[in-house]
Amino acid sequence: MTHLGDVLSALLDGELTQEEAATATEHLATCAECRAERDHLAEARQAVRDLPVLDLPPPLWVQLMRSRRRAARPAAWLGAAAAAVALIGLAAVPTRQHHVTPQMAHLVQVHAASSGAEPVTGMAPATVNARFVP
Amino acid sequence: MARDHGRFIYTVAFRLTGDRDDAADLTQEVLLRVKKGLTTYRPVSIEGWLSRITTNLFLDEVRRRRRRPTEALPDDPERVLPPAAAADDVLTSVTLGADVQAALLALPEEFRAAVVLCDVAALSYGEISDVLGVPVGTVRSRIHRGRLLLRSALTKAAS
Repeated sequence: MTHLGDVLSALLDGELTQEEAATATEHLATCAECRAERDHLAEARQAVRDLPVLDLPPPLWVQLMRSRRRAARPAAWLGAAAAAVALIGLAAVPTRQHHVTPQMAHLVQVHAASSGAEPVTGMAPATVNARFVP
Repeated sequence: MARDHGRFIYTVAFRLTGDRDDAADLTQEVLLRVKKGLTTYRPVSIEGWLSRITTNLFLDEVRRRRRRPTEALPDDPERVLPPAAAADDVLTSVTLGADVQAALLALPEEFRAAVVLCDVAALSYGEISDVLGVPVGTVRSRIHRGRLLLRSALTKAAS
């Protein structure tokens, strides 16, 4: 009997046609070996999917803000979406912080390099500063 | 660029490299390229576009380091098997899924990229095929073999 092999991963990912999925499911009903392999694959797949999304280290966050301010007019929908998401992001209280508290001096330095004579407070909203207080 | 897109890039970069500094460098480079390309790009899927830049920069760097073997490779054993964590780091390691990350790093880079694009970036096989420049059948095979290796590594780590 031919086993399903990589068809199993495609089945888990919803990447088969209805007909292919039906054939694979039919085979699974009669093949314990393929069922066991499917379960192993599902475990590995879920383990990676369960990994958390990581927050940007603060220096990169500063760079992101800079690129948002200075980017030369992206497609209109992208700009609007970016602004909306950024507002939500700034208003939200972070629930999980994986990295160490950044050095404020470094943030100031990065910002100064990016904005010339503009004062720090000219860019960073109060909620952002609050996040970085040790 | 929205903050969520920044987190998306950094997360994909960290899952590929397994190292905070490398991930930060990679993210920084992606942000620079995004900034340059933003005026002309008309995205179909922005995640697909960001994944393409991130993954290709990662694979380019892997190839570059392979040509210069004196540098530590991302799959250097010392990085795959990090030293025992200090007590303060234990919680962080658990939160970050250190065992799964170590298993990801043990995969050959081509398999790791396919698995990360599928299960971290949540791209379709068609999008991954586009990002990696290989046929969909190859994508399917790499994801499948990557998951089997990953599961085997996780089982060994748990025993």
